[in-house]
Amino acid sequence: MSSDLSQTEQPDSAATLKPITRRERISRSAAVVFIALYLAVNGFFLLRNCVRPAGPNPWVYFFTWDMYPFYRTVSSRPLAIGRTRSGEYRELLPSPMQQFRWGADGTATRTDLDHGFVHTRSSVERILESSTVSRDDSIVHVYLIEEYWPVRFNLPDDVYSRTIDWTRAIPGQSNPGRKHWKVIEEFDVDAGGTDR
Amino acid sequence: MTSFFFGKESPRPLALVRIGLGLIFLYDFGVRWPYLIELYSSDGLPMPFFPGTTLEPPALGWLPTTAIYVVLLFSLLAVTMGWRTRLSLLVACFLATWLGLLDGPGTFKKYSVIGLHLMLLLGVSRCGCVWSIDSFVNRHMQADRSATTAWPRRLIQLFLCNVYLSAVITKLQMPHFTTGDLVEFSLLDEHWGCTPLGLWLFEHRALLGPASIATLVFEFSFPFLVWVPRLRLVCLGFAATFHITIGFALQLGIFSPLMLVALLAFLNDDDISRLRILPMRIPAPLTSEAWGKRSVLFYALCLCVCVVVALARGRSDKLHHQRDMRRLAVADPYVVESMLLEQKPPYEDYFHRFEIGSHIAGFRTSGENQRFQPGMTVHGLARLIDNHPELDLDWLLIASDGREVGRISKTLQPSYAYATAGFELTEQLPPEQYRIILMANGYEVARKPFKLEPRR
Repeated sequence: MSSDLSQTEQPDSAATLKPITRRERISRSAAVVFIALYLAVNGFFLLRNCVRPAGPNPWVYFFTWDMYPFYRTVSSRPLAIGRTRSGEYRELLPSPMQQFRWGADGTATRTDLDHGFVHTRSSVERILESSTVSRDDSIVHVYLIEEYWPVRFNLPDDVYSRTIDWTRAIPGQSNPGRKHWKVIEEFDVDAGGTDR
Repeated sequence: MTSFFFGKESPRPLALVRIGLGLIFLYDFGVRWPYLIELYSSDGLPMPFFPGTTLEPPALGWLPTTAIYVVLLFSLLAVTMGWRTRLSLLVACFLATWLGLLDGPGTFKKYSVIGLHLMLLLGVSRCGCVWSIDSFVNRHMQADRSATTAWPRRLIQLFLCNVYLSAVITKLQMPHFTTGDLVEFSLLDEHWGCTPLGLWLFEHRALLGPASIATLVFEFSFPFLVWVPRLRLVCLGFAATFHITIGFALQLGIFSPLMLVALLAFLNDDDISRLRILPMRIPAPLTSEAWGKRSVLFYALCLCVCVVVALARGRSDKLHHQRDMRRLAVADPYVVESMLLEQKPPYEDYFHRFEIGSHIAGFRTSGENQRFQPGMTVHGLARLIDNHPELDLDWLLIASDGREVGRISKTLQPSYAYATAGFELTEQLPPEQYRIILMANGYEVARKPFKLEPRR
């Protein structure tokens, strides 16, 4: 036995003439309330988006479709360097704890994707808690550093030499790939691995 | 209005959306399985999307997190196969929100929210009554196949229209979108761009301005024209092309597949019938109604087995993770010292683009850019990066013998992203090779040659 769906999709006029049961009435009322609420909330945020950009209220994010709210003319990523008691430097970010990768070349960690550096310090603190170098030579000072470069340096060499023909260097130059750094924060760490 | 929302229709379009949505999220969370301790567990590095707010869910230890993750994957598989469809959709929606909110940078994006809306709306529909295990094991669903109401599908359609309208409103509020600059910078973004198609588009930058305007036209017109019966499939064709192009030009995760699946809600039953690859004749239920009750137990049993297997795997991951956490690489002291010096970039690095042309409009030069004639004006345009310092710019027109024949000096404030200047090529200038040089604070940053030819 089989049924053909393509033959049963037309509205059933006979069914519409049947008396509506109490359960159906409740079901339809609930549907009407859901539809009205859903459309009202979406409509409200659509109008709100016309007037002003999304504010700090996190619930707004769930109903505002402001795709392309920003773009970056400079690429950047956070680095964290820890200085030990003996003066040695250790890499805190990127960390071996960060196994997840993203991006064009599959090397960006999640702290790299955190463009506002919101989670940089908390991530470093978490790494410090878990991984002291040793009791005798623990990390005593941390530098949070922003590494940045113009987005045009993300071009592969061949595309760069074909498209960036205005720089002072000789025509056909390859991508210089320069990077620059600035310290965004630094703090001392006590012996227990917590910052102060 | 009543027939618009409460008319009877085939559930097959929404069943297609359900299957597609389940597969997409199954893939999205499946590829994150090896990293679940790092991303979502308190034993890893959770980075909540809304830290310190009511929307920061608790991060649990590796054991409960692994269990929750398995339930999520299982529910997504159940969504795809249509097993306990409504329950599975609501469970998947809840758990995907919970875990997503624990990882802003790596998981939770605007397209994740679009997916959650779709899950919620599918959860209140009868999308599981066709092409699903539910429809095989429950006799009463046979009746539902021809008796589903249209409102969940209508809400998905209206939701998509809202997405497009909101997106176009946002873009109109950004002055650099129509110039193509926003797309250009996005194509070069090391996280979301640098795809082969994106790089090709960058090499053909003249296309970016028209493409940006075409995007605005499409996003504004779709919500209105898709309701016109004759234009519906045309609009869907444009939408599919639009999202496929975005999918190849930018690395936006599941965004394009998700939107393509969501657009299936605009198909009707006749459209699906034309797709002969899909089974049109559905076999009758294979088992009795009692099977439906037993399936709950079977569902729970499968879930338990999956959780146990996953926890065993999770324990192994946890041990690896603990070992990784203890390793800290030694940094080269010379490199660190050079970082701490914080040397300013060379002035050239504040400039993104430099071009010349016989015309200038909309922050782009156009027309002739290599051969000019007396009477024309050669315009120079420089696009700088954001947050550049205040710069004293000198535009120099230099003859072939190195003689300076023109100079325009301006100060560019940090709030301005463009610098322009124009040199009128008078009859007094001898026809020969010239170049325009741009200097910032006394240092050369850009140059472009051009040839002045005799008037014909």
